[in-house]
Amino acid sequence: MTRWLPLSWAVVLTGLLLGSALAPGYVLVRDMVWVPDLALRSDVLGLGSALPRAVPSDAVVAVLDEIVPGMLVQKLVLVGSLVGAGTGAAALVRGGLVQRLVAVSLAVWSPFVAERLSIGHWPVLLGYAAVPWLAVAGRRVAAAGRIPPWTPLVLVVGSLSASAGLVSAAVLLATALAGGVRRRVTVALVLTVVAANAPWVVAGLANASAAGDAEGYRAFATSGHGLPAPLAVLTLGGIWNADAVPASRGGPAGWAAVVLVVGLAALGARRWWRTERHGQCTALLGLWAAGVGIAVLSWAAPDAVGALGRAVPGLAVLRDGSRSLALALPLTVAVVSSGAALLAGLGTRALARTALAVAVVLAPVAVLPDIAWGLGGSLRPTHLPDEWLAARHVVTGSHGDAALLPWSSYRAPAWNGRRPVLDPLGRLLTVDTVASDDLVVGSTTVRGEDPRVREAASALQATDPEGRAKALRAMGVGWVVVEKDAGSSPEVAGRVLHDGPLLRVVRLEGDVRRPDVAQGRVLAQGAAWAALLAAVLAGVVTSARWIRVRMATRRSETARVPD
Amino acid sequence: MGFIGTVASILVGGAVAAVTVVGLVTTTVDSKPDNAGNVSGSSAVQYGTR
Repeated sequence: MTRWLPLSWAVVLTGLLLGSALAPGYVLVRDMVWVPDLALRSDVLGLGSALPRAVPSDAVVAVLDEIVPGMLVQKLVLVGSLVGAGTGAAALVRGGLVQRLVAVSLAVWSPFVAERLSIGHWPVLLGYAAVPWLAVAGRRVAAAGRIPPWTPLVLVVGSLSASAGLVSAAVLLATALAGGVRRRVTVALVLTVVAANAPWVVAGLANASAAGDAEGYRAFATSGHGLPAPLAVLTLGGIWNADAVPASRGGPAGWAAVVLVVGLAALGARRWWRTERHGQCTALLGLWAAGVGIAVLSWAAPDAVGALGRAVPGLAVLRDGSRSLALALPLTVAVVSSGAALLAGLGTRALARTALAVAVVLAPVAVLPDIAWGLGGSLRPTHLPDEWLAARHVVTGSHGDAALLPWSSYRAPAWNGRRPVLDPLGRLLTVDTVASDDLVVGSTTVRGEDPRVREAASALQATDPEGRAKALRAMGVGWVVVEKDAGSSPEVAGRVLHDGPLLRVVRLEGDVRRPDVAQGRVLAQGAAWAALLAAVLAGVVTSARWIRVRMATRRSETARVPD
Repeated sequence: MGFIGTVASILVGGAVAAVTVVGLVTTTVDSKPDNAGNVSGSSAVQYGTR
């Protein structure tokens, strides 16, 4: 019975937290853009000119929504990431029921979860959910020298974006290699990590010359929003975006969260150190130091982090410093839950122990109450307008890419409650799209890095509609789709195939030829996807075998029980 | 931990439970779409603010 309580508690908290988000429709909030039937286009596969921010996540969604409706896939991702984080945290801690329930509360009802949900970083949330499971896998590798069969699948789920992939890889390798495992196991682990991350790595290397705007490192640096940033990160919060931070974080409840985490960690540290293997303690401490260190560094010295990110290809993922806080999850959960269990055990009478247990299990919720019910109603699903769905079939794939106007990256459409969201049209169309990648943060504009976008912006600067059409055609753009409710747009000459209340679709007349992607790049990207598929297949086969063996063992144990 | 400790534990547990329930109920009842960002007077919708 008690075995199922952590799972049940994780489900209850997930339901309470997501609330309104679970209604029918698509939750479209900032970077969380889901559409019906995402097409498997070349940019989704990592062959575009932009940095691979949605590789491989978009491709995985494009494949899954061929089997299950995209709306349902989104709900499964949201629920799965929270329940997965909670149950993983419970599996990670060594202790009784109270400690495991506290671990669930800490992992699910967390500032990190609230902030990343609010900004729409669902692959980061899946990575966060994978972290405790990968720490468990690493611990088992270190102890027994065998890789748990489900490890490749969890690693793939946790590597659907660059930053999540790096976090997942670090957690698995740090915890597994802390035990001095055999060379064969080490090689297998490294190969699995490489395969799971191959698509975004290869796509990123192809566009490595795209340097991030220095302004971006300042705009996306860790921030405490009412709390000193170095204290906020101790509670796993500290996103740059003030709009994504729950109001309670800036008040007394935010300070209470700091006192709760630091106090219980101080109480439980010694107990945790004694119950865990020293190699694992060192690994979790190292991961925590890396996660908190990167987050604090991006707050303290954003320009230095920026210089590093621009100098070393790949380190641009450090731009949003607080994403790295997922690395701090295993130690935070282990030490704080250990302290909570110690505190709850102080009661000499059952009633006192129960009351203290209730207090420590509910405390993470009590200090962050305003994220309930879909972040206080902010996560409300919507349906894309029929006109959008109809226009999708007008823009066909044999006439180049589509430029999206107005020339800005975010929209706040009335049909989505005026909530800001990355233009969903970029996902809805079946052809590759070219849209502004500049980001407006307060009064600052963070310039995008896609060279093709700069080329299109320059084309739109032409003095007349015919000139704009000619320049866009020359770069391989054959369509212009104007969102009429999103502001003013420059006129582009062409044949209007659709002109409704929300959209105008213009086909640019004349030949359009998209720039070819180098064959070597296509081959490399294909090999990367093959590697990812191999990791998935390996995970499916080993997991299926493991489940079969476990079921057979259970059946034989049941048969041996006398009547 | 004697009688006083037990009473204190019950008070702490009860207080945390009460704060949690009141917080959750208030948030759920008052839930409304917010964080809409600054969308007025500008065609460039903000990604966020610092």
